[in-house]
Amino acid sequence: MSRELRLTRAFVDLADTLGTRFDPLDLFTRFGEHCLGLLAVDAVGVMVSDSRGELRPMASSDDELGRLEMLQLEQDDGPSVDCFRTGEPVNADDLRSGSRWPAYTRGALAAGYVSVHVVPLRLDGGAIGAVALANRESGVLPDADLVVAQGMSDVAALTLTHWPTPPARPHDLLTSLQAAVSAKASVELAKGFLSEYAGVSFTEALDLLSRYAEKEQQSVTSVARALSEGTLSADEVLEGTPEATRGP
Amino acid sequence: MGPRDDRSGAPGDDPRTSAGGAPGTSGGDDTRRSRTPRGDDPRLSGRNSEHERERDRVRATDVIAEGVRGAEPGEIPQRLCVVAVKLLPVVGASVSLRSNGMPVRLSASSEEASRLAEVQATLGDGPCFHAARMGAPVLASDLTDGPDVLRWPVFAQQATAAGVQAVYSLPLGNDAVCVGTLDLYRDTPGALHDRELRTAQLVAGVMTVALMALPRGEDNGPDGDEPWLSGLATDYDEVYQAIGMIMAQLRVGADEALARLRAHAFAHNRTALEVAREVVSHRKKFDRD
Repeated sequence: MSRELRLTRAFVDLADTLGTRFDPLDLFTRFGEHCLGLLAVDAVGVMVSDSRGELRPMASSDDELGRLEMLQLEQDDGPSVDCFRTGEPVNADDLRSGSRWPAYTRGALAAGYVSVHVVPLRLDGGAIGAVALANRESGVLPDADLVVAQGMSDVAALTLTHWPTPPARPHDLLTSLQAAVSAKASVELAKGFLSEYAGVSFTEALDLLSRYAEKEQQSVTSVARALSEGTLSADEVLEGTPEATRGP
Repeated sequence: MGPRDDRSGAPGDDPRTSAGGAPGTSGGDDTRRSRTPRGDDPRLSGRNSEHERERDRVRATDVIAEGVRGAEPGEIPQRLCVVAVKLLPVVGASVSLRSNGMPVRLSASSEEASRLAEVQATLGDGPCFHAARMGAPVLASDLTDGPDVLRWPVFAQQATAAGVQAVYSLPLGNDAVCVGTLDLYRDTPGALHDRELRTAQLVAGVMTVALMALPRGEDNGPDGDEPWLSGLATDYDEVYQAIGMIMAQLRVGADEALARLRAHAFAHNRTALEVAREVVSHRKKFDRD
């Protein structure tokens, strides 16, 4: 498939708000997959702003990058934090030669990341989050990749505001953003619940949730909420999964 | 991958729990502020000046402390409703708890506010249902016309008949667990500006702590400022994961699991995050008694 065609498919996919499983986690999982598939990057991490205007982790393509995002929030310092504050892209093509973010740089190098590019998640001229693109090699990302990354980020930001319902006014966007952050929290809670109940890891618990959501044609978020509110039992989610040991 | 180990950072290094404010509250580094002009756009709330944020927070904290002074624990929700009216451009405030998905009126600043909470509960619809479902603030900024009327036609009609033209509903609890809502009623149309929204969220945060402390009779009144609020800084994956794990360990609902996590943290003089990290790394298990 030509790059042009793959790009077009990615943009159309990211703009799709109609799928039955559409929710913020699904959106940013797909976004991360498109970034890895289309750009010369090794890992992708997305953070969005909550209703207090604070940056929160939403999705990352690997755990090490996820930990680096938490580190940035704890230190209140790092490339994604800078990008979100200024609304401008941040490029660090060789972390070994810089000391802009001491703690982040130590963590990134320890995790094997040598360069990072961050583009803002933008909406109507303002930053609502940051997308970190990390590489295990030093070097500047090609301009074309940065343009594509920014374009996909812009589309994903716009798509996000259509969850759970299309926004009618500027202040409705705030509900969308916080709802996305809350959706992520609900999924974390459900992961914890299912992992403890079934004696599996968080990763396996998320797989179980996703598989059940797919089978039932629901979003992972709605399955997670149903579990946390007790309207769906863990046994139902585990049904037909022999590898999971049943609850105590 | 198994459950994750502790993330980097020693306990207590979380700026959100130590300063009780937003990350960077102590920094005040103006060079890192946005280059774009900021107005009242709620999406830009992250880029208000740290100084402005701190001033709003101190003022709100003062009014809250004054408002709850001498109150019995059971009176605090009502007092906080009155505080909300004092701090914000609203004429009434009510607080409802969630019970099996239904709001149960707990307290209000006035008869009128109480009645509007009742209207939402009776209709089974309204901004408070939406806020609870989404775990996000819902600003129904104009109940006289436009999208809010289309979304809640009956509630909008009843509210405007009672002289209320905008309703703001804020979820209580944390991002994953909604224990109720704080509903604010305004007599003119209009959205909450971002500074007002932050103040409203601060009141909602204090209300959450008050509500969660109530049934357990914890003596964590507002005399020591930060310990009272520290249980709110729960915006970490580990806290939500731990709540889920405690649900399974104790066979309880999410709200009870959160209460148990907080109670344990409080009793052992630790933060909810510290206890959550122990739960996630299997160093602490909650037992059914």
